[in-house]
Amino acid sequence: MRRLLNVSAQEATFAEFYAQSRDDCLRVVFASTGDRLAAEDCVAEAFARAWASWPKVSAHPVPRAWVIRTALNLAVSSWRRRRREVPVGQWMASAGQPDSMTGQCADSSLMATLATLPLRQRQVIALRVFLDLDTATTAQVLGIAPGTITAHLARATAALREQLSHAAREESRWTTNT
Amino acid sequence: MDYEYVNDESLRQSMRDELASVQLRAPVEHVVARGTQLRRQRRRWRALGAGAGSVATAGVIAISLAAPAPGTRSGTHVVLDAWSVISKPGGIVSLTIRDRRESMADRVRLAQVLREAGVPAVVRTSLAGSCGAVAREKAMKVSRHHGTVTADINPADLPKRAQIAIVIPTTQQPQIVVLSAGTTCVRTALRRMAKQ
Repeated sequence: MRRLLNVSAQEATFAEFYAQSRDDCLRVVFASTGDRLAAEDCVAEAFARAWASWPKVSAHPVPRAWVIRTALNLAVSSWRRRRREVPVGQWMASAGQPDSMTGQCADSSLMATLATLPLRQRQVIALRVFLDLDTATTAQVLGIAPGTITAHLARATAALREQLSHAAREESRWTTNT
Repeated sequence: MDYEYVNDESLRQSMRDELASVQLRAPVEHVVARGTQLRRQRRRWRALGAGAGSVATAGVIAISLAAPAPGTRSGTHVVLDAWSVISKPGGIVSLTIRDRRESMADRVRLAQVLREAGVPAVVRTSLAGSCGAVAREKAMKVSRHHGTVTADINPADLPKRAQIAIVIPTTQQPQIVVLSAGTTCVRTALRRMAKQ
């Protein structure tokens, strides 16, 4: 009886954690991978694994970081499985179209620019922007040095601003000419 | 927006605004169910591992788990990200398709696992060329939830020579129907499927 009560209390805690964290975790993984459907699958599976190991995950200093690390690992595993697959016939037509990062957002220029950044820079900026993690925790999640995080963040922000400014200038020039 | 004059915080806020509409749709019940399933699998493996200390005991357990009794096909339990096939009590085989593209890519294995579970099945992209399809008859109960299609199939209730057709179109949601056709007709459908 006590065990059942304990499990239901754990489930309630997990449900609260899930409700608070799921969208942010998805945004981080989506911004890192660029594939909305794959990101959803990976994040849902990562949360399921978090529930499977909930006593351990709930004791983690940042459980959301655990979920994201697991989801990113799952995304890499999924990519390894898929890279040898060859799309055939009519599946080629749909490949890439609905899943691309640019098709999901209102201002596609920002997300298209984000997609051009190297993977590490995307991961760093996503963790900092969407989860608001500090440098030390971001370094822990990605398994790299804190100094590298600072460098990646600075480069990513600079690259984003430069590319977006260039795009804005081009757009205004084109508008003026027409 | 002219990004040349925005500071870092404004840029980050723009990113937050961009992805504000990106939300995870999976209900918590599904996540908890999957997590509980993973927990059980882990416990099962641990139990098997603990039994490995005693060779004879482990051997008996492994044989009893791996080999179903003659005449029965119970014990199929394949759970992947894209699809799953699980044998339930009473001879019911539960098929779930979560990712249609991945399932189509893995169609050979999906059909094979279903056949091993006692369900004659084909996986196709369309119903063109089929000689008669009857959906949702008593051998099968289909339900849908947020793009996930689940079918509880009772192979014992399938008509003679019928088979389950899992139809996964390019753009629409998967359909799971019973192809209640004669042998020749099924052969034709299979031949057309092979050409696709």
